[in-house]
Amino acid sequence: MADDSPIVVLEQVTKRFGRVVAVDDVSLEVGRGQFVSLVGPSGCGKTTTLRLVGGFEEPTCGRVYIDGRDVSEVPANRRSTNMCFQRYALFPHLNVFDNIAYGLRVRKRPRPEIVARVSRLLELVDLVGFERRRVHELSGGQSQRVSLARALVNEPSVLLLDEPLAALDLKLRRQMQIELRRIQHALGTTFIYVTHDQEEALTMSDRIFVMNCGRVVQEGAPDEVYSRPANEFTASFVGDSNLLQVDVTAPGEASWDGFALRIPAGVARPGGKALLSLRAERINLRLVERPGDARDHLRGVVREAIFLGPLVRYLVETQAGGTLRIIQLSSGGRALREGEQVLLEWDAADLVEVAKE
Amino acid sequence: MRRTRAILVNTLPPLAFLIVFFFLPLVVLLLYSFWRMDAGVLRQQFTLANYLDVFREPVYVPLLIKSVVIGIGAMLATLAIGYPLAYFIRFHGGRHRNALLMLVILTMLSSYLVRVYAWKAILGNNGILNSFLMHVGLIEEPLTFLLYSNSAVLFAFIQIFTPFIVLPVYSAMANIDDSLLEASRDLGASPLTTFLRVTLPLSKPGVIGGGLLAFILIAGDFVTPTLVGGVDGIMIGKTIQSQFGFAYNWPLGSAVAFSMLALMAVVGGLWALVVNLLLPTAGGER
Repeated sequence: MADDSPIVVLEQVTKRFGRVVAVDDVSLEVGRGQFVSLVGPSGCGKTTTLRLVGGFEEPTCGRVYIDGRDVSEVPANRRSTNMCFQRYALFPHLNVFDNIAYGLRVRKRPRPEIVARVSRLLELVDLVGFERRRVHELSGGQSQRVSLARALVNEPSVLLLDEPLAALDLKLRRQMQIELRRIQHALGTTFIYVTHDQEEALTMSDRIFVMNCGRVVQEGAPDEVYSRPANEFTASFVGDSNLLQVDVTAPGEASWDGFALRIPAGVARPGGKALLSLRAERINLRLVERPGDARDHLRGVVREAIFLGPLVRYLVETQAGGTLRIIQLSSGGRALREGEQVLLEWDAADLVEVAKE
Repeated sequence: MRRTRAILVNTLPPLAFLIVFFFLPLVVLLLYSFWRMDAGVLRQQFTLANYLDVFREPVYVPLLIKSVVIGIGAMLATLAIGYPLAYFIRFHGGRHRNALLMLVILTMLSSYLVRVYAWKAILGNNGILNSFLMHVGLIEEPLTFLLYSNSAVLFAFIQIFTPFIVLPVYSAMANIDDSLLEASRDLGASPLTTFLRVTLPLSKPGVIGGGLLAFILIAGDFVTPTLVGGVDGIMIGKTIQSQFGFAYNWPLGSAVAFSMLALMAVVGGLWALVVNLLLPTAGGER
């Protein structure tokens, strides 16, 4: 009974605007009922991809399938998708109720049905009592929720969200992230979410598509993408990574700028080079040298110490010559200061080989 | 307190200008309308005789009504032309939007008088239209009814005042964000439905403001009727002007002017009311 087929399929889709290639031969599948994120820097093509699914753009090449149907030439108003716009796009001449009811009125649904469905949605987004409010009277968070309710009123099979939380302050954003997740679970609707905030994508998604320059460079579950970045871009865009260019000297051993270190067994090719990613939080810093450690260690000098509240970020210039970024929890005691001599250590298993760009 | 003083200081210069050069003369004129011109002598005693003349003399009321009717008619015609034009430029102009807008504004740059005279050249007995029709053999004698008629006045008004509608309507439409139209389409609306439910209601301020402007300028105009209206095409503006000209009866002229002012105010108010009723916000339901 549960349909396992993907609800959205993009098959080798390319979108060109004049000479600009916004989406470059992208193929992806979105599973039913999943919360999926398209994440990447500005201009990577994630919004264009979303708009291709929504029917606001037509693919230059390739096909778009929704629920098994080829919708490549179907305009937006006839697709079973709905969009939550980045700046809400609420109708200023209508109140909250009429905004949400718009989709139903356009389909000429009878009044009792409209009242019932709009009321249910107002409950879902926690805006009961706001029916008669004018759009300009709403706060950012409230506008966002009206925009969501309006997009859900036609019960779309896929909800598209274009950086809906971008305009909200941090605390509100975190709240709404949880809210959106809750609503998605409650409805079982497939959500496709576009954001440039990799942290947001990691928090909310079942699956992430990392995009750069119009292409999907990696896809997978959040923890997969985070701990096993496949390429240089993903390693540096998702989370805070150090990229080490090493010369492999023997199986399980390599040299980084003259410093000998152990590497995971899988990275073969003695005599060859490899690019390894090391997450900033997987490096440990300490002041004093302790004998008899199984871990690798490296000496360095603190060049920068930035206090981030619960975390501290350090920039350390190593004896080997390279610079490493380290993130540590703020300890009860004082943070390390600039100029202090430190020891860096990490577990060889945390080194992940990434493909060179 | 400090804030009120700051506001007053900022508004006092333009306010003073307005008072001296607009309100004061208006008040003086109003006073005149209650005085009387008696055999070439101005009697400064309060009287309603001028206003009674306006209503009782057979010439004024019909002319007032006619001027208002022409004003409304010409305004609606310019709206019928100007609204689609503004719509096309805003939503289908693409990169050429500003250039097209400039073309519309350009027509306003030439002198008003020149444009009215141009209509004489077009509609006259030896004008372009007659010459063309005779050239192709459709007529043998020039059509004399073209110029110096009500229709000539109407056509001239429509051509000259269309930009006055296009600009306010375009401005209102420019404020409609494209994402609103996309949202409407996304929710299932066809292009026509999107126009009726989103674009039209949101362009209302432009329609009301532009229509009001065009109506006021047209109804009270006396240049165009004088130049291309002839005897048939006379409008109230001409009558008022003559009272301040060779007829030399400022009290009567003022009374006619204020009667017209009151009439235009009422019509203007009705216009705003009617548009608000005809273009409801959500397509009528509640």
